[in-house]
Amino acid sequence: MTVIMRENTFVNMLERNRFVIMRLKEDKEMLKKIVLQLQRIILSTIFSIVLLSAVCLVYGYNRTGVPSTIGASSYACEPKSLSSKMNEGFGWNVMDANGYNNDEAYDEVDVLIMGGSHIEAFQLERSENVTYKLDEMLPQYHVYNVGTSGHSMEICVNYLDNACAYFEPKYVAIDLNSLELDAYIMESVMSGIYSYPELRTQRSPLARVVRDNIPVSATFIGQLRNWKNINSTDVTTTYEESLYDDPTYIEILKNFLAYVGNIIKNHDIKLILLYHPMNYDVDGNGNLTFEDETNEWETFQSLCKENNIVAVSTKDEYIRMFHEQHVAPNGFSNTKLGEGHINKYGHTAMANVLYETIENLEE
Amino acid sequence: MAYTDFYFYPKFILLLTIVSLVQFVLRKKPQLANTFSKVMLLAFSFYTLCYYNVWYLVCISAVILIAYMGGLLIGPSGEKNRKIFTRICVVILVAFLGVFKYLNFVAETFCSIVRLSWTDINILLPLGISFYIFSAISYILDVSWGNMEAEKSILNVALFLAFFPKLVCGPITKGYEFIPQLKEYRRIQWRNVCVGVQVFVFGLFKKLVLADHLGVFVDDVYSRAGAFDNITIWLAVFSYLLQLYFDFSGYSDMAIGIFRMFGYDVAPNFNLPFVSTTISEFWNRWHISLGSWLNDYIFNPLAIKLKRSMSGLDKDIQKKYKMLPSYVACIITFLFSGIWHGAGFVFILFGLLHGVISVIQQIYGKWCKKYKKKWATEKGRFHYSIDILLNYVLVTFIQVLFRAGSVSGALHIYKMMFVPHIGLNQIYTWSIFAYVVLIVVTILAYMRSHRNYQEIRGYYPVQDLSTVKGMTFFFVLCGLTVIMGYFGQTYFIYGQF
Repeated sequence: MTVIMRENTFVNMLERNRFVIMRLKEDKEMLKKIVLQLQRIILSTIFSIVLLSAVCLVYGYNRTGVPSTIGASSYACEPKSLSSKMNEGFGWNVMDANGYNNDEAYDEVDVLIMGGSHIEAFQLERSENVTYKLDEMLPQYHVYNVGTSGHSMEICVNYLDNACAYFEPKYVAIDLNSLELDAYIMESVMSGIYSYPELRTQRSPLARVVRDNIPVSATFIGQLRNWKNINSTDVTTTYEESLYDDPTYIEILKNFLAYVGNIIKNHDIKLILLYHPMNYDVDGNGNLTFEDETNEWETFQSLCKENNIVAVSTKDEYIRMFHEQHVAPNGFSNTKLGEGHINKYGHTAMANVLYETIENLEE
Repeated sequence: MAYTDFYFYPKFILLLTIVSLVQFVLRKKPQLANTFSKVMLLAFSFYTLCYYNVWYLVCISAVILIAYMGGLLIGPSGEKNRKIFTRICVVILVAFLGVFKYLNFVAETFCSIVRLSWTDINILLPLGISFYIFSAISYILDVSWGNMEAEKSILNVALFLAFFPKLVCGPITKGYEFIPQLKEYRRIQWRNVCVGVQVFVFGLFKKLVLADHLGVFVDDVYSRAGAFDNITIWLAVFSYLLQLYFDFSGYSDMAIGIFRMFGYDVAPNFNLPFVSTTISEFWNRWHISLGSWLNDYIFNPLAIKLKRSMSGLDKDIQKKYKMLPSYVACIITFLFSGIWHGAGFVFILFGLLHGVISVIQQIYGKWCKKYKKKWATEKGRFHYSIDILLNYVLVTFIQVLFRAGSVSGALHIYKMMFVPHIGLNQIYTWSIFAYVVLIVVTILAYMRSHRNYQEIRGYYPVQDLSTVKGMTFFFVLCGLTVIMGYFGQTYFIYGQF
């Protein structure tokens, strides 16, 4: 009986062991499958990142900004880097040795154009932007573009002294798309305490490496951010009253323009403030109408004149081109016409106005 | 909470996870697991409605109760009472829809005829009302006609009507197709999730990348047509049909994808409508669930009734006009379709045009067959392509009515199209891109049909996500959807119904 029981126990143990071994084999198989699947996921992720990055190189890419070596702006693009844009306009440009959007970095510059993203003109082929067109119109001069995204007129003034010292131009043109300048920035610039906010990727070396070497990363994250904010309320305050009705603002503007006047006086250059209004509309009857800014424009022009600054507007040129060629100065074939950055027609208008102004000044 | 809302995704993933967990924990009690799952799905559906407005939840709850009680009353009733209860339920449901959607239009029209003034009442149109009311009516009629038994579980009826994937823009599900699925225990399974998520992303790509970009251009041109030249307006008119297709079919794909993730099967709502050669074929391939509903509950019963009403006439007359009942039923059905789309004369005209043209095409087709016009009956690829193009142009022109929203608005667009004038020119590149995508997809579908153009069917290019190729394709599609997506203010076009 004991022998039988022992045998039974032994058989049971064998059975149990077989069961455990089978389970272990199954678990091992399962583990193999999981590892294999993980390998496939990693491989697919790598392949898709490569493919998407190739798409982004064409669709929308530029490398992280670097501090400008010549001090004409807070930052510049990496020298000789590619900038591509297909989500607004179509532009593929390689930066010059200074990191700006020019064919080459001239040693001598006669006309320096400063400004923000409208002047930077990444949405266009280089031959379509104001700098190139003006350069063609003025063969006796070298025209150079230091336009940098995010640089309003007030911010450009912060770097005006450096830019004039470096390039020693005859003329400097700065663009502005609004007559209502930021009072805080004006005061900061005049006090010498203004500093451009550091770019996110400039703060983190890892973020910079990822952004620069995996083109899809910046576009993807940027789009996710846009998606997240799609329903957030617009916090832009629209003033019912014009800032030009506020004596405090006028005082700040006066002082600011006097400050600018001093800079250009020290460098003996002619400064042209090129206003390209964006507050217009083409209505359902095909009429182009601008918001009435007569009072603001006259005040601004007269304050500029007091400080030997030439203020010109592209408004009349826009109207002429609209009636003759039926074109709007903003918007592209892949966006809404009349909104967004200046297109090639707007740049042509700016070049025409600047050319005429320079010709008049030469006389 | 639309699918284009970023914050929908964490909530949806949470729902999917919770339902999966509950099903796993209760795997040995399938009935309980099924009930719990459905309760959670219903709760999420109600939450989705409340997210927009609590009033929407009140409305759909009322419709659920009417449908449920109606079904229970009709089911066991005799012939006479069955008819009475059916009519009462259908009238209540139609009245529900009528008050919310058509009251202002009807009252304004009546007052203008009798020369009285009318001020529109501010009625909040409940989200998706046209879709779930039609589903409710289909349920009542199916129970009445014996196509299905009355559903005893209010949970199943509620989920049938209020299931969140189809709330905003359908598809319009029928009771006998969907309620049996709700009765079965449909577990969340990995292979279904893989298929469902891919179908969802196809839909999201269509909506975010194609439809929304096209919308920027179409909305701009339609809002100020006089500012643009003829070419631009023509492009906008043709782009609108594309926008509508990608918007609506994109939403449908997303809904079908979500259904699939939870284990439910819903038939596709679009089947490459642009390869249609006639208006009837177009509506058999476009918004299929609505076409099928109209066919089952309006066209067929009406055609049969009209045929029966002719039975008392002379045999020669019956023979001569044997197609008349179906032609009349066709026009009336399309009229209903137009009215369903909106409250206004323009929608009546929209429906009528479709109906009349469809009948003309049918008569023409029969005439060609009768007189053995080989060039019409034995068409080669070339002639078939011409038919597709002509039908496409015809449908596009009629859609101007739909987009313009009023007869005067549509006439203005037609005028801007045909009267030469100068203006801003914009060859919108997203329109070209959308056409390229459509043509490539159609060619692929044609190749899949073994080059038999009469058998072209749409399909979802679902990949095997256990392979590197499949996963790469899927990840690239997700990436392209985000990278190229339009993230301005948009809406689902059919969400207004």
